[in-house]
Amino acid sequence: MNANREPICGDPAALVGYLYGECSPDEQAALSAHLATCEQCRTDIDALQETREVLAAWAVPSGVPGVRVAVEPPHTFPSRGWNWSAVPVWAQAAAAVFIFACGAAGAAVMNLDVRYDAAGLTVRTGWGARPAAAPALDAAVDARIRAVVHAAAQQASAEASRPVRSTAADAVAGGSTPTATGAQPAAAEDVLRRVEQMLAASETRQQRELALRVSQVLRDVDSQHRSDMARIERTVSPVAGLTAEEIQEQRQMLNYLMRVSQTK
Amino acid sequence: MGGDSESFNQLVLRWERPIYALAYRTLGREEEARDVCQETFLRAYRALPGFKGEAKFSSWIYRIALNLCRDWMRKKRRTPVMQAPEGIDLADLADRAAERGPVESIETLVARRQLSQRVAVAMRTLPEEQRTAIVLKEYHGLTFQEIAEMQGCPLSTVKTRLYQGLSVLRKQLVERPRVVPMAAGRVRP
Repeated sequence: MNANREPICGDPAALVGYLYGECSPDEQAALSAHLATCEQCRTDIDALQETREVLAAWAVPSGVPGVRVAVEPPHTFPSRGWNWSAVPVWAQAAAAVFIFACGAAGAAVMNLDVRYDAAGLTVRTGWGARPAAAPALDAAVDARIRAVVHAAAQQASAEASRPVRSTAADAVAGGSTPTATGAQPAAAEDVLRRVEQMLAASETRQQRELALRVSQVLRDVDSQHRSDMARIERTVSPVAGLTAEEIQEQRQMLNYLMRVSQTK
Repeated sequence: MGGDSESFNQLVLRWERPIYALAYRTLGREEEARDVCQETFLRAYRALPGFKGEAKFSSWIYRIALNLCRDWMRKKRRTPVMQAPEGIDLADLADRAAERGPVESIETLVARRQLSQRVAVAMRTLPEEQRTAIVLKEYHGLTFQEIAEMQGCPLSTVKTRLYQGLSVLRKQLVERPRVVPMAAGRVRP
């Protein structure tokens, strides 16, 4: 090296920049001038260049992994019902009229009675005259339900110290003896509320478990699918990669993509 | 582009070989390189909607691949192992020579393969940062700036890593050890 060393003499950054041609024109000119006089740096650059030429011999195994991304359409299960799309429109209209006519005739014959009042939607059928004692029947059913609730309330108040689970069970069991009268509506409502809460909690828990199971199954299926695809591609790609025509096609496609990507 | 598997497959076709080469030269194992390549494109496909085009696609996907290679090396706690064939299959080489035509002889192919193995073994001795910098520069043509961004270090550090790595390789690949002939009748201690 020179006795009066220039700043760039032996500077790795300057030498590497010059080696790869990634330096400013000024730096390039300065280093070129320096190399003309400094034998050490010239030897260094030549050896590094030779090393780069040797590095070019490092080959990668032939063949490509053959990666392909495939988005599967959502699974559609074949419908087992009638394929209405295959039936002409006029035939569909005729069928609809026929079904409506049959329904109307049947309703006329069966004394179909459809009512919507304060008690809600009521549909009754039957041969002959309409039942005249319907309001009395409703009242009897209502009284029975009230008796069941009152009995449950009595059971609940008697065993207030027991856990909620057993109280509810007893309340349900006590419903078979509708003997209580004049009970405590507040306690009955409390029991009903507890039962409803338990049912709601149970339903939520079941839905959560179901969602968990479904997600686990989906995850398992996904991982299995990926591993299968990987295995198939590993098996196929070496064979596919050796075909000369395919290599040629890939080169052409590569060149095309190179041109396209360079235009971006 | 996000979600369009056909468009993405065009990108895969363009980039799978470079990504595979990068993974192979970083990990030194064919099987793992294939896995990393596959995982790279899978991650890229999933992350494609978030790719804003601020960086070059090549830098983006190289970064994904390099991170996966790094994860693999850390997980396995292994240094890259360059696979060296047990022996050279002359029949295979003869077939390849026949494919290439009369220009390249079997001897040339053998020499080429041996040199390739020597480079692979020499690269194995480098620290990970130097090896990655050389791989990205020599075989993938990235700029100093791109390598610096990918490695998360200053530009000058990249140049230093390249210089140091090349200097080590130079000693192993270019400067051959001098053979000093022993003097007749002289017994070495």
